[in-house]
Amino acid sequence: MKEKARRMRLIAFTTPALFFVTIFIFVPFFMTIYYSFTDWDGVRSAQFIGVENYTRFFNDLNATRALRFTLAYAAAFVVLINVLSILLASLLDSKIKGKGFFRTSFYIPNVISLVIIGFIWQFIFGNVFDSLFELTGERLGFLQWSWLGNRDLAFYSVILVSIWQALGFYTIIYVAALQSVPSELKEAAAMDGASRVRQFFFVTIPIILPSITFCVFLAIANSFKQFDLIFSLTDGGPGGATTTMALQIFRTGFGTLRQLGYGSAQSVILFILVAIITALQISLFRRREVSM
Amino acid sequence: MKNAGRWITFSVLLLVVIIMLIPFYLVIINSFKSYQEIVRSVISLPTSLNFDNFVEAFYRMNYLTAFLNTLLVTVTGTGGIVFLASMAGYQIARNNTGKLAKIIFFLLIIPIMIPFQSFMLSLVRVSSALRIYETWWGLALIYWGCGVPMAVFLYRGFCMGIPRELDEAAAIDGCNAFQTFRRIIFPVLKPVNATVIIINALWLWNDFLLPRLIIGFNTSHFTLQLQAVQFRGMYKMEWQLIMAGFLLTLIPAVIIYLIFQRQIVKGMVTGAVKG
Amino acid sequence: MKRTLSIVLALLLLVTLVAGCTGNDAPPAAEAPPAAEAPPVAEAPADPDPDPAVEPVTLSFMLNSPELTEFYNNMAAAYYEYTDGRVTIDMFIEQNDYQTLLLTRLNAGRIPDMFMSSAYAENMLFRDFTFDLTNEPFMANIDPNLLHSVTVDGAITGYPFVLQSHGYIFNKDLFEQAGIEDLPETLEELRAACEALVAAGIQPFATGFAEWWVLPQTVYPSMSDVYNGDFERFFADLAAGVIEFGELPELDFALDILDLVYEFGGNRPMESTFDDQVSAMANGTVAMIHQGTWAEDSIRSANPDIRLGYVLHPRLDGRAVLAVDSNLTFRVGNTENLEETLLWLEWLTTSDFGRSWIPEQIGQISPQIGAAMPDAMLAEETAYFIASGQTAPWWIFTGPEGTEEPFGRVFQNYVAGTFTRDQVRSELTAMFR
Repeated sequence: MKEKARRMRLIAFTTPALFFVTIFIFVPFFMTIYYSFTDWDGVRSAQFIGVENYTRFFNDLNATRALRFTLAYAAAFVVLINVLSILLASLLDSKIKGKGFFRTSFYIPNVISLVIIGFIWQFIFGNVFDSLFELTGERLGFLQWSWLGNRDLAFYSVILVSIWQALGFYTIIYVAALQSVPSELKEAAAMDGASRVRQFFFVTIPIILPSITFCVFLAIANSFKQFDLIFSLTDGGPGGATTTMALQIFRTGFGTLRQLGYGSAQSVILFILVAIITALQISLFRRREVSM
Repeated sequence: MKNAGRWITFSVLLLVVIIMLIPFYLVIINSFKSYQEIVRSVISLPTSLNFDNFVEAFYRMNYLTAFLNTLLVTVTGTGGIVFLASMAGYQIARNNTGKLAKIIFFLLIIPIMIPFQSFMLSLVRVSSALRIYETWWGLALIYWGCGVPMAVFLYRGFCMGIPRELDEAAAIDGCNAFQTFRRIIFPVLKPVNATVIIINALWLWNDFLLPRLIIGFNTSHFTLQLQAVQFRGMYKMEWQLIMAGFLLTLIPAVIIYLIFQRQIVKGMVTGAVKG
Repeated sequence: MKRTLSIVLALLLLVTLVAGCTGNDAPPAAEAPPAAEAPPVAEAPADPDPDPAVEPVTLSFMLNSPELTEFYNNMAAAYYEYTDGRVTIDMFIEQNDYQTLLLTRLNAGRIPDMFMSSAYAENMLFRDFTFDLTNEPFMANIDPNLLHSVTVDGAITGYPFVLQSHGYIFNKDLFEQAGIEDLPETLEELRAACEALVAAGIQPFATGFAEWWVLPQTVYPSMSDVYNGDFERFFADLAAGVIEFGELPELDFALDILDLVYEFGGNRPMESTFDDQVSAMANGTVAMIHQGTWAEDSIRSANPDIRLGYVLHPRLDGRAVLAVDSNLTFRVGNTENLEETLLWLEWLTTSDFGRSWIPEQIGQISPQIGAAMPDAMLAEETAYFIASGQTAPWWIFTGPEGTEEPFGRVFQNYVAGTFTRDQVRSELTAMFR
């Protein structure tokens, strides 16, 4: 009897949440999987075409380039953001004044919406650079480059802005993580004659490994999902050079050709990709953690 | 730590802060200039603090309506997420040995793995089929679905640490399950509530893609971010108005951040370190 | 346990099916009521005194081309006045993702009383949602030459809104400054003109290549000599695989033109937006931009003294052309307010305001018979080139519906350097098969 009451309680408390998650995530997700096997333009009815969308993906120049870019962007972002924020956090972890001020300021870019950040940086790479160029006597040539319009430079610009925006967020997490490292351990290592650098790599890093796992996981997830920033900074340009899979899905499904079936297939491929990579990452790091 | 080392560290940090904040400096000074002043030089200080740009941007962005819409979506969305997820997380934690609870928990958090783009195309179809397309409250409902998974994860984790004696004491006093939750448990959830509220409120306030897809064409339901994008297209190259508009859009978020930064930082850290 | 699970799954499936099925229930196109042939109506019928029992009506319109917002508002205000406050027009004006938003609305069953769209291939796309205007008396006021873009199997599916043209808008003063006397008509002459401009210290082009739609409009008119202008057969042969788009010599020619514009397009050619083009033109910073009649108002309001003209699109066959067509179309939605919308359209076609709206207020060429010629430089040029037979239609829009954007993006990728010529060829071939 009591058992049944318990069950009823559980069900009563969780059903509302389940309801909304089902309608707004599971149902669309399964619909997407269904539509990925069809040819559908949102107007005429969907025609079943089997795995044609999937085979098409691997021959599609734009889609495969988006895949390559997404992987390159994610790799660069994940590595850089974690390395830089750990570095920054360790600088903050020292005995200097004004830590609160620094922490507060670092985090501000993270509070602003990505679309606004994208436009602000467009302004910087264009108008501001032009002004600076004139002001410095027209000598600093790199200010005249097409940072958002040259297909090679655009990659670096996008990474730069992404890091600028996210640095504060990850730094704060690492600051807290570093603060949880007991100073006795560091002192013990110092007394054993270890240099600061060795202390860092062999004492500090292993202890904060759970936070690193978390941050790497988050960085991977966020970089694969990246849409807003790139949409407003380069719109995936020039010529698709900075188009991520997320943006490509949007264009495919909501562009003038409205290829909702093909777009759905790309969505499924993205999901599989993210699932595999995060599963790998978590198991890899967890194993490291356990062994530490 | 040697003094020289300290100074170097300080300088490096200062340099980083400058890099972090320079774009805002640029936005602020240019929002006070006239168009001609900007054309002349983008990095010089304005000659006077005139607010004309702000007034015009405010009017042309339909700021009050957009602000209200964003506020409604954020408050309703965040409120719903807190309500739904706290209830679910609590009961799952209380039943965490049971098979049913494990299955429900799994179902609720697995969506964290699903990237939004993997279901966004169909989400538009679902919302129009449910006749909630192009409304701010339809948007809020969708956020309930999207925000619950992560929130449930946090609530369950926290609730596991709440002693069962509290529940039992309330039961002895004659409270049923809902009353127990409302009067006894929920107040204890303050720390994790703060975290969930802050994370979700910030996300909802700044989100662009979902409002773009769901609100669509319906300009009277536009959020601030939708106006910001629109607004840049409308204004062509009148950067002084664009900058003023951006400031108007980002100032609320910055103010909230500065007020609540302690809780925000604490919340993020708790989530991360607990892993 | 297993039973609960299977019930849940079954429910999920059910909801999925239901959600997927709804939204396709658009009402079929109404049968146009038979009407006798009426002579062209010269004057607007006096608005019958509104029956006090008649409810005020709000019409909902969806429009793009936001640069015309002011004129749309004037028109709505004028009609409000004309109907003594009975009819209010609510307008949604958007350019980005216009098509997607419109279609999503249509699929959700919320059909606007009137919406703008392109002509040609989109006639069939929207047929299910719109009312044919074939038998409306006021259609006799429209220049019959311009009806071909909206006619399908003898039925008039839309109302031609405005006649537009595009080419290389050029600054006459800057050309004079560079000593260019004869307007270039071939690729070589265009190159020579660019070099003369550079020698005079003037940047020849603001490319506009950041916008995907600038690419097709720059390219397709220079390909309009393909198949001697028999575009219907051209597309049919492409679809059947008789010829490949990638093999066309006209395609290589078009790519050469893009190379030229890119070369003489300044130091940030891929970042140049439509707004950049307009302001660069108005400031006198560049001599040419590829745009059309819709840009003139913005340019001249920033620089009232500027003198504009058209440099035509060069073609392989040596004949340079201006791209002229009536592509922007008003479509009347099949809604409960149908009668009111038709009354509005009649007013637009026959009233004084309506007849002066396009030529005098908007400053573009009206498709109505006997309309005044607007006081616009590019409109005058357009009329001149129409008279001398140096025009080509916007033929790309007669191709498969919706291909304009991917078509443009292929060329955009080319100029950005992310596609090679060979990749352009294979992509385009696949696109039109």
